[in-house]
Amino acid sequence: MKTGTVEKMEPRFKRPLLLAVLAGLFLVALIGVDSVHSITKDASFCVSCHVMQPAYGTWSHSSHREIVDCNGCHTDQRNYLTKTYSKVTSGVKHLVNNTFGDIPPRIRIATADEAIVQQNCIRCHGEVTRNVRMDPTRSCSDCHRYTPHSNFR
Amino acid sequence: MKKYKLLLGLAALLLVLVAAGCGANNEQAVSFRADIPEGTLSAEEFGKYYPKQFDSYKKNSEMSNQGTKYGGSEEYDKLTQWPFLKELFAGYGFSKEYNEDRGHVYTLTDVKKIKRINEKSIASCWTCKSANVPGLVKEMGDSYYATNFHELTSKMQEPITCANCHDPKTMNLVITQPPLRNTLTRLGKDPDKLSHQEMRTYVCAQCHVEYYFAGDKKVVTFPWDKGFTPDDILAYYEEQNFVDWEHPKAGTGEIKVQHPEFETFQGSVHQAAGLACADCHMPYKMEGGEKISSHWWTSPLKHIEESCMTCHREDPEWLKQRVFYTQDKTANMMAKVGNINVEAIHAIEAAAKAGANPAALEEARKLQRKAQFYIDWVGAENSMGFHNPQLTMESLNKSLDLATQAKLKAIEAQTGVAAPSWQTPAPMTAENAVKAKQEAAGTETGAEKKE
Repeated sequence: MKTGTVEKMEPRFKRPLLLAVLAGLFLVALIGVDSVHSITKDASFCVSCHVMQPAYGTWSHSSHREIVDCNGCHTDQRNYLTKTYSKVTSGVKHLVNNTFGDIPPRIRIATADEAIVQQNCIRCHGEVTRNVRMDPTRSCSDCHRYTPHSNFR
Repeated sequence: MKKYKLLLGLAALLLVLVAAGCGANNEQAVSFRADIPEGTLSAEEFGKYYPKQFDSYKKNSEMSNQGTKYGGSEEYDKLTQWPFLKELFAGYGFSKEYNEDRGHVYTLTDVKKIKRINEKSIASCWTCKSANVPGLVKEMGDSYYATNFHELTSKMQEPITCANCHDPKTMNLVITQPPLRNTLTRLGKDPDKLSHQEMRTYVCAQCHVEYYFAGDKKVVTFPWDKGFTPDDILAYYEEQNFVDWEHPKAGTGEIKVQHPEFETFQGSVHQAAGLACADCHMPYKMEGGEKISSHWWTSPLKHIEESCMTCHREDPEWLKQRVFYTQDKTANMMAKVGNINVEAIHAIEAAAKAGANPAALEEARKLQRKAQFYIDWVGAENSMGFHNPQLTMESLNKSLDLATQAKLKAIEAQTGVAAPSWQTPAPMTAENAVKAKQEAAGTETGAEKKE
């Protein structure tokens, strides 16, 4: 596909320029995403919203505190892309809810996010539970409902 | 130079061997697929491949009531514990010997020595006592059930073993017992297409259920066609006019209830929350760095930490007291209701001896049959109410009501004096009560206006 503008440009010039612009954008995006990741990676970021205080407080008194923070369980840890995607989607949701939304007195995990938490339980505890055959409709937290947020979840 | 190459080659070989060794270790990670040959029944054979589970299975031979209040796995006489049972089961095997059940490993020993088995007993009584049964039923068809009990004694080699619930090749849970397979199929449920969580209840429901011997072939059958509640099951037996034996004192055709643990559990808070039998009775426990499900079937009161505390993070002693709260109330109530049931039997007996009105006496007997069914439902169920406290109390209440009516009817048959009766209205919600009151007020004002 040729457009008028490109035709007028010198051929040896157009490709490197385009590539350079794309690479630049990619770099900016990468740095941007990465800096967002680094800002949001600690529990201290999550608890900067008041509503997360009970979740933070219970976690910070649990044995999980030493091993994983909020993201370790609540974002999709399979790879960089899934981690970014899950963090962005729930982050935006939380932002909207916290700014405009009706926050219920008792916050419960969204059904879609349960699967992410389940996957992360297995991520660490898979070896220990290799003898356990679990029904796909059930999750670890069905029974371990106090882990790690005490009776707040 | 050559030597150097040789050395290098050897080192490489060693490295490969070490790596292979490590790799082999890792492959053991999936430890539940031993491909045990089809038809293996002995627990020891399974135990060679699944030693941790087998260790817990062996604990079933331990006999103790430690930590429990109303029975663990010690064999004791229920007729001594509950004297009213001897009166209820007069004329039937259960009045001869009725013991608390021991573990799965004792099934063969116990069924062979119990006084309820006589020379006329049939093979149906073996059905839940041996892993050999599914194979025998396959061989003999329905003629298995009415075969003489003693004819098959030599064929019963294994007690209840791994093979009763597991496919030896895949270790998948599987329903092997023909009575449950038949019943589920009859009710339109495919026994091979249940979810894993359902299976964790249904493998237990192969035996821990109410059943009866149907027809001349005496096929072990589960009366679930109308539902699982005691009301549904009584209605089923009433429709069939089913009678286990004739009570010599009451002259009533009675029904004997058998351990309806599965049915009682239905509708309970734990069942509604999605739990299976195995969640409390086979809790996961750490064994050498991995979790296995315990195969020591006993009262969870013996291992509250693994059973209750996974979900309920309260003090174990507090949790135990909560269980006792339900069980004590059930036991007290059962003892009282048991007495009234005996009084009903005695009243009918006295009336019959005195040559009472036969129609009224027959009515009293019908009431007594139902009353006995409801209390037996609770007495035969092995949790002293805990599997479903509300249903258990309801059943005891129904038994109390029916036994009282039976007693008064028998006295009426003898004396001609009917006891006062008052039919209470059906339960009314607050909303309906408000409406009813308004309607009543409306008609009153309407009447006043007319005047």
